[in-house]
Amino acid sequence: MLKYIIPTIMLMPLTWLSKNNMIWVNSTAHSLLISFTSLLLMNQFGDNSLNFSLLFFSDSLSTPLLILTMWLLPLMLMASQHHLSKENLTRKKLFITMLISLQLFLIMTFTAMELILFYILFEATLIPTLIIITRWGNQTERLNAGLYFLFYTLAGSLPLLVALIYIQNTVGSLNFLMLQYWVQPVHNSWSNVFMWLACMMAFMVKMPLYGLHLWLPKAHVEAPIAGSMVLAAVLLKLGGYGMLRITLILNPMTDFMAYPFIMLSLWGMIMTSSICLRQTDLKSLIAYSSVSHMALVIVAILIQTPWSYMGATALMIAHGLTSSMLFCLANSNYERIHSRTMILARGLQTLLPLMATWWLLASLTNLALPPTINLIGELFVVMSTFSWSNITIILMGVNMVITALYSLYMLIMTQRGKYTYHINNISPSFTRENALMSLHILPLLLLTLNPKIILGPLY
Amino acid sequence: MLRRALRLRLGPCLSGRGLGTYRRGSTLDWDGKVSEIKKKIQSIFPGGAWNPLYDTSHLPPERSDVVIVGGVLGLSVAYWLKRLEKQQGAIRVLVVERDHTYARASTVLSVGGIRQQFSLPQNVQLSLFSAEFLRNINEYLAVVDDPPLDLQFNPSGYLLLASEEGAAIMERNVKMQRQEGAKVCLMSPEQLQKKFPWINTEGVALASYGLENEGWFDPWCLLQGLRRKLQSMGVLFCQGEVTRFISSSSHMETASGEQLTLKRIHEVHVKMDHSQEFQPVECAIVVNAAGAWSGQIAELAGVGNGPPGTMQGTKLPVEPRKRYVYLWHCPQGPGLEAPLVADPSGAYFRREGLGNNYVGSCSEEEPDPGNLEVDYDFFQEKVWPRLAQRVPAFETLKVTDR
Repeated sequence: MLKYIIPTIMLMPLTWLSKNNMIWVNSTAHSLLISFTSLLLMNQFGDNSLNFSLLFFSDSLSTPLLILTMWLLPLMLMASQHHLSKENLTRKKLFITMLISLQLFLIMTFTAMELILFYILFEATLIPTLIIITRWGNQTERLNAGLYFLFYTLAGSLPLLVALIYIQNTVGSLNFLMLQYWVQPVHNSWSNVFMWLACMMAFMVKMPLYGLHLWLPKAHVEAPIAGSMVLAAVLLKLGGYGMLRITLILNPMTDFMAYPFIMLSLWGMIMTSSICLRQTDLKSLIAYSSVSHMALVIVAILIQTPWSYMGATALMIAHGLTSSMLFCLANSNYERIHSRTMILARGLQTLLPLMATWWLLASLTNLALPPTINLIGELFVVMSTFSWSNITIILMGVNMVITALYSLYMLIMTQRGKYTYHINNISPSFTRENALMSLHILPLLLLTLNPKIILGPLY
Repeated sequence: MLRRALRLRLGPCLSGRGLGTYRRGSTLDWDGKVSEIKKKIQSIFPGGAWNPLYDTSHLPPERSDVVIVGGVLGLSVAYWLKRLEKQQGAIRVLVVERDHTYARASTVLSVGGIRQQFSLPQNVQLSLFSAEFLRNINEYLAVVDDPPLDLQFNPSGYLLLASEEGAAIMERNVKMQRQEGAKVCLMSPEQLQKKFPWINTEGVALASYGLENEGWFDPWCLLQGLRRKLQSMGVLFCQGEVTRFISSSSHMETASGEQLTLKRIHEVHVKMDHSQEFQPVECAIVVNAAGAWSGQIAELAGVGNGPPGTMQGTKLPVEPRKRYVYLWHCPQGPGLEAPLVADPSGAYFRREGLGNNYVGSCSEEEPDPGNLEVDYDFFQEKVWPRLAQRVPAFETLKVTDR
């Protein structure tokens, strides 16, 4: 594990000590190299996990998430270059340092073996994210957004600390490997109900569950592009990852405790998809689309079947790449028009055809077009929920239709039609932007050829 | 001392009048206290430029989709933008106005007339739509719980008089106006004398009288109505002056190979009154509706910076022009059915209110537009003779102060 942690830590002196015109080049190039080393984790043997030490391990669940996290850092750096170009040097370096420290905490979170270590790093990721949102966000509402983000996730996760300490005291250890073998059935009693709730609520808020999702549109919309990317792609998956790990010790209570949350998620995914149809702000649309996709993941994790777990992990990776790409596209729009309203920038296909290609690919993957991994994830989830209860297929079907509707709405609104007269002089796509989009979509398309690596430990 | 002890003991249970001093806790001047405390804290710490609790409620927002600079036309643009947006809150509009009292704006200082008798068909169409808007203004500009607007629309019509030279043009114009749908009638001098006996038809060859949708109204009322409605629709208002546009330019090549530099405004600097403070507002579109001063705004945006004679070098051809308008009282004047009469010599007048007052002027000379001073000698020398010649009753008028 040190082979990832030490280089990531050393990225910080790299930015601070680089020459002024080389900070972006250095940090992007080196973080790209580090992301290639993460592919080594794929070499998993057997169906157990790859253990590095007493503190860190990785198995086929955390590997794809880890690769995603490390892949995202160079992409975030590339995306932020434009809006930071006017800041002074120290601020730029500070921003990059925030991103690097966030990356560091995320790497350690996904590979943490001890659940308390996981919790500490889970909370630690909040701080750089909060700083990125409130300091470099765009509008005055970002303060409100940061507040919502911080307090929702904090309030949700404080009970988790209590529950983890309780489990440590009763079971004896929170080391994940040992926990797998020492787990005892959790009987139905009031205190166990609260322990279940305490364990799960942190991750529910993070996912986010439909009733607790208020922080997400605010935080995603007000964050700068790098903040939006990392929030949508990785931080939401922290919730999913945590739920996948913690449900191991909460059986068999999950069978009946999960009902309200499954209902909320099933209803919520349709609701948030419908809200997407009525959005005028582009980033807000993508944020609500994230809530909708994550609701599928919550349902999948809570019904606890092998197929649904595979679907959940595939969906997490697929959504991470897709959402991040959509945010990058929205940002490229914003940098030209200086407004996020969709109707102010229409008909971009005639002006920026290559960018239109990326828009098309991103929208198609967002609506889960076969044979992308988005579809594989959604399909597995639909099938497993159908076998759990037949009626859910109606809800899932409605959701898929509405998802297709708003993805195409977004595509057609921004790309097709006659362009608005005032955007005839926008600058053409930069190579950096094209590279950014292709680096997002290439892994997504390549994974279509070999999806078994993202299907998680139950494959 | 005894009273104090009494108060302390009886405080919790008595709600009586004797404890009136405690009741004053609700009017403690909280804001003043807070700012005093802030100042004290600031004086303790070494002075820094960073003041996070600074009150910025008078500044415009940092970001907006459309920034509109201007008076009543700007408000109208904002109204239609908000009215036609697909969903509430889709477009964020900011209206920047230099003077919130509109004391020096063209809108409120104007005579407030509306007519369809223009020479361009587009003007006639615009005017017909405006007339319909003004008639139904309480449907367009209705705000919940607010009283309806009373525009005091006097549909008395416009009467344009033409001498021999202008008669042919007038006839042609009236034909065009009728085609567009305006209701205008042409009158000969005899018909004119029969309809309006107080007119002296000497020198008049033809007259055109607007029968419907013409007249005058109260522009201040329209302004306030628009402002009220816009505030209820969520448009942000800001009192300030636009001092700068920040734009980004890019070099482009046209299809014929010519090199151009295209500029795009992406930020507007709005300066507050009586201070050096300004707020950069990032925006997508700027609408220049500043009326007489739109030429200056266009200059800020860089319209007209270029070699003279080319399109880049042409400034926006709008300059503020000043006209005098006078109010007078004449008991023997034309009466209630008098339209807005425009003489071929350039003088015009209309009835104002019901007390035999009239408003009018002469639209010939162009005094210096720098200030808003009124020259009463101009009235004596230029306007009165013409008015008196056209309407003999006006020989005995008396100018009241404006």
